Amino acid sequence: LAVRRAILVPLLAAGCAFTFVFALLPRPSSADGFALRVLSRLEQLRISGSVIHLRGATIIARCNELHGRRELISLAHGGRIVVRETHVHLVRRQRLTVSAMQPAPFAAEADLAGPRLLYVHELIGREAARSAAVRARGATYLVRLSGAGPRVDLVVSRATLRPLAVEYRSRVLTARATLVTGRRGC
Amino acid sequence: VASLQTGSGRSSSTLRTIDAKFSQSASIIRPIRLRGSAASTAQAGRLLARRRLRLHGQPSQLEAALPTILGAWAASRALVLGTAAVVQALRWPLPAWYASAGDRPFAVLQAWDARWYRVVAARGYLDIPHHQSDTAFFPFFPALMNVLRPLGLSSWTSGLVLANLGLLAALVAVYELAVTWLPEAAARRSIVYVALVPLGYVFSMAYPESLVLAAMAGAGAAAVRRRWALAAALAALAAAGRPEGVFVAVPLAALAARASRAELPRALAAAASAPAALAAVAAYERVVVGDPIAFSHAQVEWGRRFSPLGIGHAVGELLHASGNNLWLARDATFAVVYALLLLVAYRVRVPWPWIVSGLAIVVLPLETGSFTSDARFGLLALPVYAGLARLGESRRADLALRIAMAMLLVGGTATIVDRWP
Repeated sequence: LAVRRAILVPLLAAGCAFTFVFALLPRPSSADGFALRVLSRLEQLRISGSVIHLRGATIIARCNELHGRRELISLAHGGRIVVRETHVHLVRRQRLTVSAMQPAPFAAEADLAGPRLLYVHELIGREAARSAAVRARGATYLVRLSGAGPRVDLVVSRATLRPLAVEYRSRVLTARATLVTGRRGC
Repeated sequence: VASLQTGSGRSSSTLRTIDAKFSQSASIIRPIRLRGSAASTAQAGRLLARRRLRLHGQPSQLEAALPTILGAWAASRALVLGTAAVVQALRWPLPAWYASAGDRPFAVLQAWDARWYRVVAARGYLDIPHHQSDTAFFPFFPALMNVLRPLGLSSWTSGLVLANLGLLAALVAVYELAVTWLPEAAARRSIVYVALVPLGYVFSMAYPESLVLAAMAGAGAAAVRRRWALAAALAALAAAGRPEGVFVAVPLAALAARASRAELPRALAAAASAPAALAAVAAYERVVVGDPIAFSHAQVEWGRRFSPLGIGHAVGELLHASGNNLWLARDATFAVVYALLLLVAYRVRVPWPWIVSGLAIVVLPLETGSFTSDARFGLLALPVYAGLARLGESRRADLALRIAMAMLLVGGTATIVDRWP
């Protein structure tokens, strides 16, 4: 009996500790779990660029990773944007489609051009705050990247979680870009 | 006994002998009364009555120490909470920080890891690969924060309430443990030093340190008094609150080794409860995030990784910082001071298993390659306070220590925003 007690008491302590935290701590939401899977998928692949559809115009964007976890976005009509984490810098101001329409503009092009690390950072920020939002639409899911100010949603395949497109919506602008994934790029 | 105990600390060994004999006689009296003849029962009854008279005439040790405990707690918390309120009102030293923190009362005491604990309490664990994740933070404290939710307390408030009340419990528990190591006067000094320890503002932040300190000291005090079930429960709480809590198993195991044959299973069970609770934390993280040692893996994203050459890397980091990082120097200085105080504690005959446990708490984190936060980790090394009590033996030294520690406590509280503890 004494030996049994010596074994049972620690087991009981462990069981009580487990039950206590299991009963009192909430579990992550299904949206959080899904966003984690998308995050994991994003970290496995590269996005070489996108085709931006913006107010009837079509702009080709290319994305390349630079030293120091920065990303260089080259727009077909000459504009260049550097993205570092969630900070966006305009390198060359040439005929940026959106900059003429918005005072703080090139963030829209940056969001739409497929900077993978920016998506990863935005998604991690939402996960850290446990504010992941996921919505089903046909054969795809819309994963919210940014909700403060302009709303940015990443469209992923329901079957493979591969990122397919990005949707951008603000008070003055609605745009969509089709993402091109490949072996090189951001 | 009471008159001897109010005397100087020199008679400590005599006191402990008398105390032990008193405990033995008290335990002998009851069997006589229950099993003996009518005469011996009457004799035992008289002995008991006399003993009761003596006991009830004088307050118990703990009752006598309660004003000191309450005074130390109230004064030190007034310093910490007052300083936190003043720096917040002045928006000092980083006005931008306060803009993002909002206008919650005592926002500085809810900074750094307190935010992580709050997220765990509100949303549970989520292991974000290759990124800092809340799985690094043990679940007992956030779970306890949720216990207070039905009382209408927000998670911000409940964290602060738990931590500050936890310190009060810790002072009582440390006193109960310290009187088994030191003369009573020194035990009283040790609790004043617990309350005033420079990094002790952590005991008022929404961090689990104060509760874990209470649980560790309580487990030790209960085990010395052979209350093994209580020791087991408190050891489990300590290990579920902070990884350092598991080291309470060392002195409990040493006490078990000296236990009588009849008590041995219960004593061993108490010693095994802390590792068992750690295993429960691992099981919980396995169930929730799929990784039983997610709490360890998450540390990698904070730049912490155990390696055999970790202490060398920590020293290298310190030398490389070469005055640019005063906060790292602060943590390294405290690590050295804690180690020296453990040595002092050993010299005043604090039982060696407690010294080993304290050394593990101070030194093992350095194996992750950094001194960062070692000043906070060392708060749980209980013999450190016995070492301080020895240094503060003379009235002048005691006063100097109290003043210096109070000033450092205020300074530390005022600069919480600058650097995590």
